[in-house]
Amino acid sequence: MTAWWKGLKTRSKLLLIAGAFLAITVFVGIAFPSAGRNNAFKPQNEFKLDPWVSIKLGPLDLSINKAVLYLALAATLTIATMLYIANRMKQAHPNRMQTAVELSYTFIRDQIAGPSLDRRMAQKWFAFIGTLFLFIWFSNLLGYIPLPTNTEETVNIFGINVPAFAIYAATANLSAPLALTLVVWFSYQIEGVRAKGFLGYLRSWIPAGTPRAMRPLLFAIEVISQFVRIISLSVRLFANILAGHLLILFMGGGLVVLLGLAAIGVVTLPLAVIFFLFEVVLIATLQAFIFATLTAIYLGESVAESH
Amino acid sequence: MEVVRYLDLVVLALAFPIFVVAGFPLLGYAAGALAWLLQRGIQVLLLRRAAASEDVRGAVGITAASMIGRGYLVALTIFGAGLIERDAGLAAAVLVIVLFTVYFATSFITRPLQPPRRPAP
Repeated sequence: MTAWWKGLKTRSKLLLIAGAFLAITVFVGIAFPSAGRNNAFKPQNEFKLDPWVSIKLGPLDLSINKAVLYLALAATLTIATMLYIANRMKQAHPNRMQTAVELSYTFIRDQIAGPSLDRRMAQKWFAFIGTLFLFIWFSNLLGYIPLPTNTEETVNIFGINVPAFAIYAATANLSAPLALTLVVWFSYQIEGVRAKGFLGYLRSWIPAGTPRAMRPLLFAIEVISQFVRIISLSVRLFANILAGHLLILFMGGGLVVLLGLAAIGVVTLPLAVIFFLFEVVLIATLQAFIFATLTAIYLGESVAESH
Repeated sequence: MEVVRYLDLVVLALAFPIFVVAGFPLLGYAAGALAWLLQRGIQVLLLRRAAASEDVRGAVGITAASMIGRGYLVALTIFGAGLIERDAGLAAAVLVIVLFTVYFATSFITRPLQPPRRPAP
């Protein structure tokens, strides 16, 4: 069987796999015909933030909800990891864990902070950028672990209504990336003003050698670009994580339940596995890396001599 | 560290008395446990085979096929249990999700501690 399979051309293998998928889908479609559209299932409820502990200060809603839980978990993990890294660095005899820890430290220093910042700035901002990377990374990764946080649907165990398992990430809600972005935005603006003075910093937005007549136009474009960074930095992270969760949700069964069509589950299930791996292995780390790297770039750019 | 690596199996054992005392469908436990143990066994076997393989494309193929195949195995077992008894299917699904949560969370801790793969000679 193995020798027969190995003897086939790639095209034949792909055709056989596609044919098998089609045959199984048709079989399941005939065995379990459409149950009709399910209007009770609301996929958007997976991202709804029900207040667990209601706290309201005037117009401010500071209620504890599942997003707060995910933020607290990510913060705890980040603090624990940073403390562990700090303690492990003192060990004289490295073990496997220390090697892993040192690798992550070196990665943040050499791949994220190092290339965009000069020595003084890198020393000053390394802890912030490292923390930012680890916090977003943990937030993203936690988002792929199913946790009992869906208070809309509950499972009764010994008379206690335990929330159903769901995947959710704090970064899949715009508020968390936006708050992080605002910290970054104000940090690099203040750093720029401190380094060059208020007017000097504004002047540095115009590239050196720009003809006088072009300066107002370029300055206006740069002002817009500075504010657009708030949107691009926060929405990039939020949209990527939300889209990943939606894809996993729909492919992992949401589409089958919503359409009441079991047959499409045959095709969507492997897609769910592929999307899940893609998100965990690539997107979670990549988005944390992009956010931290852009932070380093913005900080470096704000104090650089020329634009 | 071995206990952490197999913590999902410890949770699976601990879930049995909970199923019995709470009166959850035992068919659900049996289906969930069978699916989980089978897919874990297949995972260990195929990962060992992939690690031993010197052909990188072959190893990636084995790993990818194993993941999708194991997904089907678990889904079909839950589906089968659900066809026999709807509540049993739900119980099996909840059990498998709990086991996956434990397995996935512990794999983050144990992965950096795994010995590095020996390069092919």
